Amino acid sequence: MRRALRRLLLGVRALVHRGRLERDLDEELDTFLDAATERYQQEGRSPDEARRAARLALGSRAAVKDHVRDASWESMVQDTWRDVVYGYRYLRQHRGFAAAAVLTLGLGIGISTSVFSVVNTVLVQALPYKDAEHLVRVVERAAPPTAGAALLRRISMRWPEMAEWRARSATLSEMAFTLTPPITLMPSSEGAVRLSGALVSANLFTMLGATAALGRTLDVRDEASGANVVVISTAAWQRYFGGRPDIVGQTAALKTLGPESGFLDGRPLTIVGVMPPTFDYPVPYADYWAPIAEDSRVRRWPGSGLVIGRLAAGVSVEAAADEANAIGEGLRPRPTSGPLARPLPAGVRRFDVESMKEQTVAAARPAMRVLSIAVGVLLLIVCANVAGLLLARGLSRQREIAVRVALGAGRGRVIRQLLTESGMLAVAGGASGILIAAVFINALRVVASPNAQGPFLISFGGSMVPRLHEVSIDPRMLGIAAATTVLTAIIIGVIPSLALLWNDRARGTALLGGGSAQRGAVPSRSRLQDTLVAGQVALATILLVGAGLVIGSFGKLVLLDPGWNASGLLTFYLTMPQEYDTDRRAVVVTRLLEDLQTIPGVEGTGFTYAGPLLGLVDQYGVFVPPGKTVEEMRGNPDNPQLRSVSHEFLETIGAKLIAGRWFAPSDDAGAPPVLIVNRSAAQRLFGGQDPVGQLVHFDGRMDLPPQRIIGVVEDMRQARLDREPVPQMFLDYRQLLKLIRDRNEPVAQQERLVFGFHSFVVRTASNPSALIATVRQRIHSVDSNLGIDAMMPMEQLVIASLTRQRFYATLIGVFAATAAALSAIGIYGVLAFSVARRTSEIGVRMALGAEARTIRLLILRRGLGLLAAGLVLGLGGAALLARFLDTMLYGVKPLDPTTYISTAIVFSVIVTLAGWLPARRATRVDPLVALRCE
Amino acid sequence: MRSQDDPGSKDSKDSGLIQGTLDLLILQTLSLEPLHGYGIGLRLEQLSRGALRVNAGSLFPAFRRLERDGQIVGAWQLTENGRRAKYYSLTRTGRSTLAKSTKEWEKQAQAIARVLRASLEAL
Repeated sequence: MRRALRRLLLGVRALVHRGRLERDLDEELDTFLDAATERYQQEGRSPDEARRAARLALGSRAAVKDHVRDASWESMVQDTWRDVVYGYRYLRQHRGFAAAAVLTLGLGIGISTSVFSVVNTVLVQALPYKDAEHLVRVVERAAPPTAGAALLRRISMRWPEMAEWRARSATLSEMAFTLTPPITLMPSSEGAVRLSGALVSANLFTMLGATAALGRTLDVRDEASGANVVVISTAAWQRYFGGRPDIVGQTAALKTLGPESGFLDGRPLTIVGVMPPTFDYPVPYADYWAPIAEDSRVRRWPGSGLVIGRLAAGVSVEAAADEANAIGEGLRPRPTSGPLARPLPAGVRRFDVESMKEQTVAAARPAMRVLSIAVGVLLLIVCANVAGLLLARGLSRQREIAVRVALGAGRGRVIRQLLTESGMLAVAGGASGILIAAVFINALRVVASPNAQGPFLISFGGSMVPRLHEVSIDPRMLGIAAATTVLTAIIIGVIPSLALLWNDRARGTALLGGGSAQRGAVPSRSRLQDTLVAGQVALATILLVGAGLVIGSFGKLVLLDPGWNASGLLTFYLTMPQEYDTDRRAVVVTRLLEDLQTIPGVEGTGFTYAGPLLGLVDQYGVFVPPGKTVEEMRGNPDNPQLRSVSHEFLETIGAKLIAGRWFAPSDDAGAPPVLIVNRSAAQRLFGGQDPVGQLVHFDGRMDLPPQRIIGVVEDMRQARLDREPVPQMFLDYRQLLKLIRDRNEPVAQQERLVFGFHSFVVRTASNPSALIATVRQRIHSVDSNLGIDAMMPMEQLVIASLTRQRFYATLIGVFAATAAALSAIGIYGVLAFSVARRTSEIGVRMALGAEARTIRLLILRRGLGLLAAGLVLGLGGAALLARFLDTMLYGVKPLDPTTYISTAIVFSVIVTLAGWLPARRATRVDPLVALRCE
Repeated sequence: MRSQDDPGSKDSKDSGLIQGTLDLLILQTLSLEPLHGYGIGLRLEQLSRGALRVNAGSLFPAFRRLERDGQIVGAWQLTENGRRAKYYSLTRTGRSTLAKSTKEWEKQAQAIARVLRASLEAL
């Protein structure tokens, strides 16, 4: 050990004093020569002869110095440094090749790492809660109304059920309850603002192991009546409280509306803590979490909330499921009649316990699977490309290697130098890969966050790629990607020269050079290279087809006619003070509509309880067409949704009337109640007969007067653009208000069904954004207590609603483009190399009179041959793999012929272009030069 | 023994004198008096009555090795001609290594001799 250390130190010192040691050795050798000369002179030779003999005795001075140098380790350092310098010089000389290799490596490592990091975070890693594998939900299943459809699932419970379940369960150590009221208001300087948040049982935070960023989270003492506390989010703290440092201890007066009114009644709640932005239970972008106190109305509410549980230590999911069935049957006896009485399919249990993570990511899994395959394919392509580039390079250097070996270079040295070169490429590629990964992940985050406002953040953001904000570069994947590609680079960098280093004959032929001799030992085409390129083309084709399908599907969604017209529409939501009764609200709506109509440039206005793309649906009662009874229609899955609108709303948003008439201003509370239905309702509930003029009972109250249908509109896609339309019925809000009052519905229900989110639209011929300021003014002048929520052009909303599809389309598009580019580089490299090798052959042909066209074709033929082979393989492979894309596609089948054919054509064009340049260069070969120089 | 006609080859496998033995011989040479490079080679030749002629390509690396391992130490002095020459001499470590290695070498030599004698006697 001490010897090694000593050697190390002396070696370092030797490196430092390199120059002096060199001179010393020289001097020593000079002394040697002098001493030897003297000795030979003493033996009787002449001075000249003695000198000569002395030199012979020494031998090659350089060789001696070499041997001395090899006796110590620091020579290796010097040699490596020299290798690096040579390598750098070589790469700089062949800039194109170096750039192509580094770019290929960088793209491959960077993109595959970023995408895999996304996959890994979403699918594989546990949720960021304590012991997340043990968090579960209880799910109750029921048979679907139509055979073959998906099972019905229920994961919610009423509070008393949860409390009872918690008491009885031995397999679940804890259970927590959350309820998310859709409308919660908080007074602010601009009127009321709408918050999103949850009412939770106080053990939620400890159960999830979540800690507050400021202050504390909720605990059991907060459930005492009169505790009146709340925890808010960082976003709410910044936006509504100005990020003030003394936030803990401030109060917030929260009030819930609608059916959930009264849960929070507007009394001031003390803020005890602020949650970090990463905490997203139960919904992302939640603003507050309030405890469910002992005397809270939630505990007696007939509605349900979401319940999660934690498996007790050592308990298996199966045991928990068994117990769930026992407790479940006890708490919710199976109904003997009605739609839920249908027997479940064989092997399906009524109650089950599912891991929470499973539910959260299930929606994303198919897409993630596709992306993983794509990543693997891309890495393969990258390796093939790099290998191809290096192979070509290596084959063209064989002469150089042969010369070096002939001059006396040790094999080890040559290999080390080649490895150093490949290593430098690999390092550069890896570094650029990390850079690209960082940039790409940031870009992904931007693409994935929809730029919607207010309530839409709840509808879209959550169903996007879950937990995208947790993604960062995954070091394992970086390591894998880097290792695969770099190893490939390094190994392939050496392979072409290996034969030369050991095989004397190969060396000899390479040395002698000459076109004919060279062609024998160094072929102008390498089978390995051909296979690599054909394989690359095949893989790239698979990616391109996949991208074509996904992008085509996205295109279909974007272009699809939703049944209404978003262009020129401005939409916004209002919040009215809680104390406004329904009459006053109706007055505000009417006045506002009238006022907005007077704005110059406005072509139409409208009001509805929940505008397009909000996803709020309501059904009211049982719709009974003429000739049917309530009992027959009960549980009918085609029961239409109820939508409250102002009379001109449908016209303003561009719906199409296909029968009857629109509402008129005269269809108010005093007039006979009328309905408009959509095409789906007309088809499914009236058997294709014309419903106009028919009398129906829209809510199943046969004892009350019926309502008349006056019109049918074309189906509109309102909840989500990619969901098929459902039966809907529209009522003028004034008439609906009267009808609901006549049925003695509670005020909260009236508010919800008639006014809902107070959604307005304004149509203009010009740019809707230009109207925003004016509209705000008018709203304020009509009633200064109104709060404005989410005012934006409707088109922006439409784009935001397609965020998920756009995300996937972009990802796959990037992949495919990269793959195509890499393949083009690969083909270019192969053909360029081929031209270089065949220069003399081309020279001969041209000397014998071949035309430029023939030469071009000669070169291109090989490229086209590889292309054809690759395409066939690729299209076949794509057809096999495309079924994985099924769930992501809309309106496009996995085997859509147009996509496949257009992919083949586009790719062929790209490849032909890539091959054109070398082919053209071949025709520029001067026959005389070619014949002479090789 | 490497022949003088092939000074460039450093492949010690085809020489009869392995590295360790050369080191031992150099140590022994220096135990008599400090010498410079050529002197050591000359002395080896003299002591072996001309049988061992080690060339510079083997000597100088050996010097570097032994110096690194602390067995010998080099000092620059003026020769008779006024030239600067590096004279090597044994260190204390070198002396003890010499004694140890000599004993081992003699043991080995005896053993080899015994084996050789045995086969001759069997005949």
